[in-house]
Amino acid sequence: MDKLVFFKDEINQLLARYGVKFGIYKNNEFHEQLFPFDPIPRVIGHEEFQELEKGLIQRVNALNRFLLDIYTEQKIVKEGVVPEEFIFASPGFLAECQSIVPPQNIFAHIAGIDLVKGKDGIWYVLEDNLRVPSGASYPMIARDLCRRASPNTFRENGVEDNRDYGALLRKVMDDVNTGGINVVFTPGRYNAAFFEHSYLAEKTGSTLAFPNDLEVDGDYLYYKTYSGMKRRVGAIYRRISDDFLDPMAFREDSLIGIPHLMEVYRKGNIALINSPGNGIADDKGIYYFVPEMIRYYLGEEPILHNAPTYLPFFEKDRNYVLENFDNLVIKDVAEAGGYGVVFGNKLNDEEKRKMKEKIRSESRRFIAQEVIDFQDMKIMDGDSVVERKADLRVFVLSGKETKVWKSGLTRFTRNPDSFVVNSSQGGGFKDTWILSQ
Amino acid sequence: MDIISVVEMDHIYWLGRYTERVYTTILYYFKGRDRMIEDPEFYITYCRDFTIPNCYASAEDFLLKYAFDEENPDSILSNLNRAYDNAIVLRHTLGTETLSYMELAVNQLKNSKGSAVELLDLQKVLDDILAFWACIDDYIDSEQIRSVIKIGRHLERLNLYLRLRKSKECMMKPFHMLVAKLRKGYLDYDKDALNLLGMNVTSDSIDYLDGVRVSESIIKEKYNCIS
Repeated sequence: MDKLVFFKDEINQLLARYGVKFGIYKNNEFHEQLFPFDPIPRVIGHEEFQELEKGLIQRVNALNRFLLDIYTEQKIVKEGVVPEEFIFASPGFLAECQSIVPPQNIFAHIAGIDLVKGKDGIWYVLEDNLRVPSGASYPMIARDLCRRASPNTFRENGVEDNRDYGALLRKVMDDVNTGGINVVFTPGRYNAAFFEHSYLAEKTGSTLAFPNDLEVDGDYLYYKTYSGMKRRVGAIYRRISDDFLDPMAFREDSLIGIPHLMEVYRKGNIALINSPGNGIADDKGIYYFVPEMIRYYLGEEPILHNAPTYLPFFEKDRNYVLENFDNLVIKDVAEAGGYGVVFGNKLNDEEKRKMKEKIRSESRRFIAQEVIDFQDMKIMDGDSVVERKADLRVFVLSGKETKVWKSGLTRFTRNPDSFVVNSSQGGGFKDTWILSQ
Repeated sequence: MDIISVVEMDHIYWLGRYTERVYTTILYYFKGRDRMIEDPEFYITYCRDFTIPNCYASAEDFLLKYAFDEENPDSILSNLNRAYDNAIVLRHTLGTETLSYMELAVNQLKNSKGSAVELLDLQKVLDDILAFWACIDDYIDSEQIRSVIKIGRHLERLNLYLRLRKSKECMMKPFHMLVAKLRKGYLDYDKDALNLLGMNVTSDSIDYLDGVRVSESIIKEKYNCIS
């Protein structure tokens, strides 16, 4: 590990050479910039990861069962485990997906589960990302380049090879493919994650499709080739959000969608990876119910911990939130990307009064969580080593089997006073090592 | 038959053209800079030869802007950026290893601005482009893709040579290579235009202006496969 630090500059030069970038819009202009890489990896022990792996598989299996249930029988609502107020009013619930059962009953083929490790040594799930989670390509290519920069580091440390992500993803695509080619569908070069889209197309041996390359003809989806021939598409790893997927079903002003795609999906003639409508399961309000889901669908006790969460919707929780307001972080369930998050103790008296009033009058709109004192991670700041906040996104892939990729994206903040790890806010990334024994 | 869309084929073809444009331009720029040691005003002839606007206030202005000015559409950097724009959307086709040489070329050219040894740095850009082409030959299995990139390259070289009023002997090689690649049938092309160009560049009195015009009409706008 120490040797990698010594090769920090060489590794970053390699990352520049291989174009490991992300896009960002500033003043309505698109800029590409390198994703800063820190050579000190996050290291997770073999046994610790085995436990995490069990918990992640359990969690994602339950979430997939939940999605299947919600879009078909809705037993979990009928039996009162999850109140209907958290389903049908949620913007993540898509009525257009009602009664559609995707191939292999899988909705969340790629789940990005965000975790932090508390100072108590316990891993806490912060978020389940079941729509279009991104980020796997960065540690995958970084590992390849680190091994080239310092082979001895990896000779001396038994680390699980993470360069199989493309093969794992390909297996998922093949498992659910309905007959035809596999396609990675990108909104275009000026998407923030375009590097990842094109890299994963390469690593899965898929065709990279841009808007207008795909069209529905009859009951099937086709890729249009320059020779005029059409190739049927059996699985599409789409990297655009539900809203823009099909202008006939969702936003009619979408210029990047595929008209009538939902009709093909409804007929079972295409696998959409991930399925539309998954937003209902990664809603901040639904997060509260995931441990109950695990008990309900799997008859098991949850292995992983949620961050302690309160739903003001329930009177008991509401009273707790109002009484312990200063110790909690309040999140607006309709917001994402770090927006709509306030720390109770950071508000002045007037702001507190107003927020408490909102919690009383719009109780469904908010959740409250205990502030987790999570472990800082060491990063290089110039030639010094400093400690910064970092999270971990683990990727769980579901096809015929549910598998956890033996790595993950560790994102960190470079600002000592910040919890925000997003690349768009100047954060960087680390490799995540899973020790092989 | 490879699974390639119309837009992708367009990028493949223009990738060939723009990489060739940068390559041939840098070679000619070396000669131009050499001439400017004794004749600083040679840049005016240089612009005229390339049929690009002389938007430079002086020889110093030319030296400052011609290679590195991203705002000038005729600069070497602008042309390399266009090559990059066509390459970056083809990662799945070209491969990350191949693409890395395009990244190196762009980074090298951008970092050369203001260098005390600018021409030596530009030599490295040429090296990167040559390595990029070599990777295409080495790593890409599809003969279609390799051929279409070469069609773009040969056509661009011929077009530039016509602008630069090169001799009949210089024209022969790119012309014959273009014909050989077009005959493979991966792109629809105008046979009459190709014949016209052939008669022109093999004659003893080449009509350069007409040659430039005809060379631009050989590849049809829609890249339909013949077979």
